[in-house]
Amino acid sequence: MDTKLKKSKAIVSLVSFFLSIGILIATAIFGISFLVNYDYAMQYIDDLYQEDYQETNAFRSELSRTLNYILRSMNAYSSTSTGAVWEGDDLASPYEDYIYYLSEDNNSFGLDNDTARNLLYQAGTSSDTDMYTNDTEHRNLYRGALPDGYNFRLIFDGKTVSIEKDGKTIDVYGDGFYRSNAGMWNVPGYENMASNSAYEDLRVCLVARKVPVEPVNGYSALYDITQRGAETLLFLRIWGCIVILSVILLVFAFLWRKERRELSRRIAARTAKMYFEWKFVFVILVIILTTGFTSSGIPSNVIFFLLSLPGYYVIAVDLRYNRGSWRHNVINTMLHRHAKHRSELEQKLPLERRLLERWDDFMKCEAVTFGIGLFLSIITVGLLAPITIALMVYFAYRYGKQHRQLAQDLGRLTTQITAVQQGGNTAPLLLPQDSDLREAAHSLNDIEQGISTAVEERVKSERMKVELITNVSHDIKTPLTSIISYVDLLEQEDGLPDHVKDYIKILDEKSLRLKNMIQDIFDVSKAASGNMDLQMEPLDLGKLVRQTLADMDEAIVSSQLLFRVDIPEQPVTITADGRRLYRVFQNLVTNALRYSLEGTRVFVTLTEETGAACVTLKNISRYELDPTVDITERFVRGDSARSTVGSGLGLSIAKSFTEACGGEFSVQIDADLFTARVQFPLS
Amino acid sequence: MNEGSILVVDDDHEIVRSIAIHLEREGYSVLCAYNGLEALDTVMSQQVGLIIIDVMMPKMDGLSAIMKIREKRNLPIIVLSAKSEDTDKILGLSMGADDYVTKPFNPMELVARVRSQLRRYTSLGDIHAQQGNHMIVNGRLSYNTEEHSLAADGEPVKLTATETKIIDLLMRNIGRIFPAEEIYRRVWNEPAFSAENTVMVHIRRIREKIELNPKEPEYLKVVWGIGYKIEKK
Repeated sequence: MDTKLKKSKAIVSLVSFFLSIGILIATAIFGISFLVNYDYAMQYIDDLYQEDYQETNAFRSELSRTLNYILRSMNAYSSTSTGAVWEGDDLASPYEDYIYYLSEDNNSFGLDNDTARNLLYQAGTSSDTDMYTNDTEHRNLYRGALPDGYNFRLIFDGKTVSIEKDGKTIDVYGDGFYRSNAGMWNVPGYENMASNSAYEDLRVCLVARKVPVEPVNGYSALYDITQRGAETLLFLRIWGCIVILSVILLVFAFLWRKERRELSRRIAARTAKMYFEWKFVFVILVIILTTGFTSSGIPSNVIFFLLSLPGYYVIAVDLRYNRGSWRHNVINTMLHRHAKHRSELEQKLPLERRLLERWDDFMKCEAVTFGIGLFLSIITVGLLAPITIALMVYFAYRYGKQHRQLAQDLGRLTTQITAVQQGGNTAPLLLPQDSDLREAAHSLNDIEQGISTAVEERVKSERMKVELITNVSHDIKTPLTSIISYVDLLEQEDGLPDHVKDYIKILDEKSLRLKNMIQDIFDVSKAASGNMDLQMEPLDLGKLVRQTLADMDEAIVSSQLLFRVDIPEQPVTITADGRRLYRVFQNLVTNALRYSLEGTRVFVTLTEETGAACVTLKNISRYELDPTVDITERFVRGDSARSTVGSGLGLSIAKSFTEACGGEFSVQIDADLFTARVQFPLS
Repeated sequence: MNEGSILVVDDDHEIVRSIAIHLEREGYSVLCAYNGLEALDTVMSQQVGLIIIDVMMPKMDGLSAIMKIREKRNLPIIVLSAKSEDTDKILGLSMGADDYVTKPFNPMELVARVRSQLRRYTSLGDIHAQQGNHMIVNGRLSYNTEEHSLAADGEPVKLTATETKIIDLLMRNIGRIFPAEEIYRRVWNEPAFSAENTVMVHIRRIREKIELNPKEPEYLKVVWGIGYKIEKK
């Protein structure tokens, strides 16, 4: 209900707005034209209040015009031929109209058309004064009494004009000077507008009816003058009413302007969807509607103007509410739709195909533009060639721009890949939304994220492990200290039975083994987590192996094994932490001593390969080795019984220390042949 | 002993007791404390000749106690710690400790270290004064270049002729690393043959005579992959 009222209010407001504005504008135009032609307009208004039509300016100008036409017509006759008949074809064009003026054949124009004979005329030369006339009774109008009903006579005597009305002579010339805007008789004979010398022999008499009657079949200018005044007055009154009405409507329009604005907005919302091209056509149509029919006269002009007003209104509303609406045009929409469709399609296509298709499209665009452009250029004699070239350059520019963007993105992507590969902590790569490589960059970011998270987790867990092992080993060391100390005290006790001494010896051995194990666990966890302090220095690997063997000479000699050592005399220089590397070989030799089959040989060889020094230690295992088990894993031992001495960390320590020093450690099992290999790059 | 008692500080009573027993058997009088504050009190109130102190203890840890004690007294301090890292050792020694023993330790080694520290604090000064010109002193070791005699903690060390030659070479060049071949050439005066083994045998024997713990030598060290040296103390 409310909305309905609102809507009707809005429509009323809009319609009244149109009407009032239209009327006011029309009035304003009239007013302006009135002011522009002020003098004539004033004459026109004077005429409205004249009782006697013969006193009006319109009458005066009508008679003046008629006289002039007659004079010119007769002059034209006389100048072409002396006879009564003339050949129309021979006549000079400027006089054509005036000849028709007196022609009896012509019904549409001229005095003969006045069937009511409101204006009688006689014209001729001084010798034949009534050569032409429309008075059927052939009286002499120049002199004497006027016919019944007629009271006005105008006589041209070749030089001046004299007028007689109701028997009284009227002063035609006044002070003898003609002023065009004073409502004067526009006839020859003024001092500043002397009669044409060619008219000297011509005589004209015009007689007007006191009260013009309506012509039966035709047109009478004088009758028209009598009627015109009343019509004009009526028109002006009606117009005045309309203006007042329009002001009232304007008030309504003003009162309900809110609703109207709402409606305008709604109209604007509608027009916003229109393409700019259609709007343009609409504007042109409106302008044509306004101006195209100007020739049809003032009233129709006003109507067309009023009709075109809503058009202007819509245009104004559109301009006001839809800023930049020119962008919403057909070409742009097509391009945009195409681009959107493209990008959607491209998102789905693999990169390679996408790039190839883009190249294809570019070539197609160039080819089509070139073809059409060439055709049009030929048609327009080269006028459109610059546009074609510009278009082609534009396409090339667009393609180049895309390509450059791609190259830049690719560069950034590869840089990022290198950074990720080197493990640097890099910021995630952000490419623009429409970049071809966005997805790849996204994946790379994910990978990097995953790697860094994994590395972080690993470092964290390793650190926690080391911390745990450190704490545990410290906690174990304290009670172990007591055990060792008291075992030592026990050993010093005298007078103990032999079997007790045996027990004590076992306690002593096992507590020491526990001590070594704890240290080994600590070392291996530290090395594996990469938290070990290293003192890297250049050293001779051969010498180190020889020193290790010499250091363990006693154990080697006392074993049932034969060591076959093949180490070159010349130094084999590598860079490593000597103390750690000693532990590596110590563990390997201990391992060989511990697990080798009695009476077999242990081969220790140092070989120099290309850029690397390699120590191999081969021995025959006493136990059958399981080749599926990685023996270098922590706590893994060749014998699963774990009955023998050792922490089970020997090879694990060897491996982690070697790797911490920058070498490679590997173990190979071939049946019972156990081969440990330590390799370092030469320096 | 007249130089005072040995103060043993550890929060583990059993460890303190066992150390005390070992030391008392060697004839030392022993005082006990179970945290840093007690240790400080004891040092202030009693005649203390040497301190054996644990690092991780309640109330006041060992390193803080050492710093406090060092402000007041000049006496040998041996640190006992479960921490076996090099960095821990360096930290302990730089705080003013004279020796660093890691747990679990061999009681006999600890007793030997106590003896060594006490000797050095009481008698070493005399050696310096007596024969300054001919003496090369490095930590516990002192070598008389004229008499070709080596002493550890002031006690003469009996060395064989070859061992003396090796010691002579190394002590005259403390800190310098000698490859086995060079030692062999200069000691035996013949071209090196199987030098590494021969030299190593002698080194090991010397170590047993001069080192407190021959398995973890402090003075006569192997520089792995390079040679041998006497560590500068």
